[in-house]
Amino acid sequence: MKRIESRIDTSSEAFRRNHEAMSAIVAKFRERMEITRHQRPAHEIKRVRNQGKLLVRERLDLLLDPGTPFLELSALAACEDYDGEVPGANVVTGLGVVSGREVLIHADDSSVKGGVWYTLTPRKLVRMLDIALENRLPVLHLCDSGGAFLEELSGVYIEGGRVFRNQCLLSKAGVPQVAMVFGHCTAGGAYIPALCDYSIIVRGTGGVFLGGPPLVKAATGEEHTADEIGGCDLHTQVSGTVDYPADSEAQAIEICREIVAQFKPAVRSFLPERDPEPPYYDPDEIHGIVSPDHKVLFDQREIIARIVDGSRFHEYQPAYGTTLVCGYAYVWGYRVGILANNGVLFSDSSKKAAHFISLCNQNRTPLLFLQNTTGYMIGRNYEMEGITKDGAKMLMAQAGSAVPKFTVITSAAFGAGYYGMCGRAWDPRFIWAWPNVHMGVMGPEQAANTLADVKIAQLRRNGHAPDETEMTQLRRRVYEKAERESNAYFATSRLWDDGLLAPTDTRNALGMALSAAAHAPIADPHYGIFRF
Amino acid sequence: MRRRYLIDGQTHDVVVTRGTDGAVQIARAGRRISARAEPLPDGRHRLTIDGREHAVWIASSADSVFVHSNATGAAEIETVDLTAAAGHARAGAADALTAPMPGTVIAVHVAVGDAVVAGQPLIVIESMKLETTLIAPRDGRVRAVHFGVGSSFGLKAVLVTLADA
Amino acid sequence: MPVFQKVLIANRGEIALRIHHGLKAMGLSTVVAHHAVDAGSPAVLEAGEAIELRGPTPVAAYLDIAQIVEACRHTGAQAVHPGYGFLSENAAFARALEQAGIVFIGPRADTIELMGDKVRARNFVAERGFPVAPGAIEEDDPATFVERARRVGTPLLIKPSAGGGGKGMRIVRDPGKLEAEIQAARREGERYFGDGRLFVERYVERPRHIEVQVLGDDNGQVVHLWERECSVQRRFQKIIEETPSPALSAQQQRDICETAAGIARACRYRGAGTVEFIYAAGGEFYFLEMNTRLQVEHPVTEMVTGVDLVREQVRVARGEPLAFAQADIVQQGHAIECRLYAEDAAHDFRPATGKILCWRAPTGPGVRVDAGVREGQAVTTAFDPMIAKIVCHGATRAQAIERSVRALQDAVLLGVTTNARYLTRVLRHPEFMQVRADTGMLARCAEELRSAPGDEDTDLAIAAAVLADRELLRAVHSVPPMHAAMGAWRN
Repeated sequence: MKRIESRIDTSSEAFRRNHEAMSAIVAKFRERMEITRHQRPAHEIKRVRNQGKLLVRERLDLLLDPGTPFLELSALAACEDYDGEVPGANVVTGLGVVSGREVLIHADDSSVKGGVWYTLTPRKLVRMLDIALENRLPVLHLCDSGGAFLEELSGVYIEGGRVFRNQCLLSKAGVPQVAMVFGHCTAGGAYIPALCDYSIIVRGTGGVFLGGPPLVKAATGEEHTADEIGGCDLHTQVSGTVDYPADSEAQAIEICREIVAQFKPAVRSFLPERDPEPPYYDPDEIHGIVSPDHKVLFDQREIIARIVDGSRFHEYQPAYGTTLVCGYAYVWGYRVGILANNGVLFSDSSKKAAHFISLCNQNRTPLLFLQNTTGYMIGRNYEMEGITKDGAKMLMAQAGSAVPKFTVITSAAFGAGYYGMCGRAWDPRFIWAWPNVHMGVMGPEQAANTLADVKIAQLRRNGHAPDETEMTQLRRRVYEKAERESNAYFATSRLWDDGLLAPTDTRNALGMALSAAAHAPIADPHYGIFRF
Repeated sequence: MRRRYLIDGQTHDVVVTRGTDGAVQIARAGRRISARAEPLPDGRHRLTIDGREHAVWIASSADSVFVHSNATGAAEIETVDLTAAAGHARAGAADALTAPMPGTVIAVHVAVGDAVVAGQPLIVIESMKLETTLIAPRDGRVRAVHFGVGSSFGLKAVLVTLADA
Repeated sequence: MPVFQKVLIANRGEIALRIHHGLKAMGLSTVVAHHAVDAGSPAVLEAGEAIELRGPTPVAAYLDIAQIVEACRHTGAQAVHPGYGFLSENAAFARALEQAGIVFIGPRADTIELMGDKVRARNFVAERGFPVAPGAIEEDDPATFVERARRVGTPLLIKPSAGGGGKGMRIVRDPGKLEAEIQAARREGERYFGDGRLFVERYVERPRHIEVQVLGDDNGQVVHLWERECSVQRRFQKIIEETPSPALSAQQQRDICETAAGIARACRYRGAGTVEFIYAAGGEFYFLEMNTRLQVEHPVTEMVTGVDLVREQVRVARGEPLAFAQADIVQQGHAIECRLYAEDAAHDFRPATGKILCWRAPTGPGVRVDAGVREGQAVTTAFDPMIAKIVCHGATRAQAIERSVRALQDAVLLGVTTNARYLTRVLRHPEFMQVRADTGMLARCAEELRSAPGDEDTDLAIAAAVLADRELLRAVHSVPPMHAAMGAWRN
């Protein structure tokens, strides 16, 4: 397989400008991640220590196999919600290796407001459990939460139910779950360990109960401590709700590791086909290739060349539908079929995409979508050619596809192109965006102008003259809202993706995702009707 | 994987990860070495550490590994249980020896004030025509014996209370 | 002339095995009397027969005279070899055997008694003009003992009359402490030997401990088999012995050996024995004591003279005359013995215990190993911690040292800590190599002899522990190769 020949001039003005700007965006992103993950008020840390507990990332350090990678999902969930006071929505989720097994992990972060659940918290957990279901990955729960946030009860109530439903479906599918109870599992939270195959509880701090002491007192007048109602000895000796008592958090984690070590080895539906090879070109150059302005186009082959093994790429239909690049490559030795936007989607590129998707399904090749799209082409001629039908074919192909799909948004994701290129609704196993990304139905400027035009037309129809100042204010207001709501952080805050990724982290994230995806069998594709 | 070893009175915390070509990487206190072992026909093993070969004799007991090389002589490496030391250990609630079923006391082996070790037989009970010897859950001292020979007790009755030694 | 065909060995460990080999080579059959704890030992396994001794402790069993005599009757053993330690210097044992008509392979009972009483022995030797260290004996006049002791002058050594082998001795350097030390020594003597009688001797500073092997027959013929240098001692316990003594000139060697032979002749010594001397820096030497038994370090003498001492003991016990004259006993080359002990040199030599998981005795030209252990054996504190004697012969002292070092490095004993590396450090220390060692050497050089394991030694030890841990390896290799290659990456 031949190497992509890079045409980038790393000494050019454009490259240097991009590199500086993109590097700054990535640096800002990493700083935000650092703060979200580690910055906590001193009194919170003190409270955790006084309770004799470890911090959530200390627990992960003991749980994960040393010297192995951990892909955290949606680390910046809730970053633009709740006034930014709920980092990561108070839970850590991620894909890691424990006792040699790839597992998904849910870890409550009780260092913020006691780890209470806001509405986005169960949403993040549901997403992680969906990933577990789709990929058949075992799940480990590190439970330590104060229960639902009393001012968000209605949101948590509805979203939370699906957490338990997903746990049941995992069990039904034969996928094991282990819970380590470090703190409280209250009310609905009590079901988390109860629905796991194996559960462990730390004596003294762990507690599982449908109602905690204040609730019980209010309901029946009984006065008991948390330990008396649902502590370690009660549940491991008397009720049988929890399986293993542990004298310390370290011991609980060791028991969990020993349980996971005995899981049946994964039966993989596909394996790496080659020895891995790092990209020939320096991945750091991505920062010079991509412009922070999402309107500026770049050749996505140059991105592919800095992600895949040896920068080798076998392009499919190189001469047809050239605004969509298709081809095969290897990532960490796994074969993947890549679709990458090099401009607007036309009829031919849409058809090429649908064709390539079905081709990869035929030969059981996982699909990687590198999105950089402003949508499908519009205009009379294009409608006559059938652009709408052809976009529909692309969507039908997405829905009928059975191979694992992975989506990385590299710069822009606007319009239905986001759908066709396997956006969130189209069930990619994992979907990420780079921190420079903007996405939405249409760009902020376009949105501002379109709304202004509609308003002007409306006023004229009613016989009024449009007021310049009012129009400017309207344009600016719409622009600013659309701008804010189209940036990557807004999207990731609402869990529209599985996390933001620094461009140079994309290769490793894909490697881990591919290995994880192989845990589920690949069904035969089955498509609906293509409007030809 | 993590291990803690005790050699000649010094502890060493070690992290072992998978290396290339069947070797392992051993990291400790800022040092990192690559190591592999192959058996030799005379019963020794060839340890290759960062490319240097050593022919050694290795033997194992329950908690320790012993190694001899002509250059360095014999060493004993004891494995230390990490979970006992790490984290925030909480004392087990093992001060009370409770009856696993209702029954009668047929023998008492200790007296108040006796020092006992974990596993030491304390009291023999009889129930459903079965004799059961109950042992001390931990090292300590007998603070109280609540039932004498011939007395009957119920399920979960506290038979003996221990205190710290 | 007593004739015997079957010999009962009333001992254990390496000496029991060595004696068995010696007896077997002469066509005699052997019975090893042993405590149950030694049931799996090489001596018991190799001997023709074995009989169990019982006792409240293992040591008590080996000291049970009546039981051993009964064991002889029961097995038909006609002679007993007592080895060293235990009952080897017990006159009552020798008499009990005699009364039972069993041959005691050793000296006459009265000789044992004479030399066993350190005071009597000292007097006997002094009266016959042999050199003894200035001293004072309590028994002579208990009332004036302390005063006479003070007149001997410090530094002086307080010794129990009934002691021996270096046990129970105290050095006094400060005359003000003399009385208190005497009281303490008396209490110790009563406690350990059942006899509180004392005597004192001038203590020679930086003394060498030189002993001479002697052999005598029933006819009064006595020869010496030259000397052994035993100065490398820790707390009065010998750990390295050699022959010939590198500190003596030919004349000095002859003097001391002939003195020893003279002493043995004077008490009509029968059997193998050793006369021990304190040798001062100026060349004077003083009689210390006589051991009326085969000594631990006898192999070095055997290696340079070619004489099998156990064989000679048996011949003498059979009433045969000595087969050689003094002129026939010539020393060839140099031999060194290192005592391999189960002790932890890094922690003040505290006794080490454990199960012997692997034992490979060193081999090679000039190497002789007397060991009584086997793999699977438990080493406990029930007996003294000596595991083996590693004895090396060389054409020169330097070659003997080099061979000893290599043999100690080659010796593999896993499961119990030993002093093997410590011994090599002693052998290589300039004081030893340059013949400046005296009995204070090890204490003096303690700091220099401490080991300092380097990073690479620790790397090797940890690597061995990791690679021997199958569970650990299995866990480490269960990590998928891609994840192992990514290492501890975080997004």
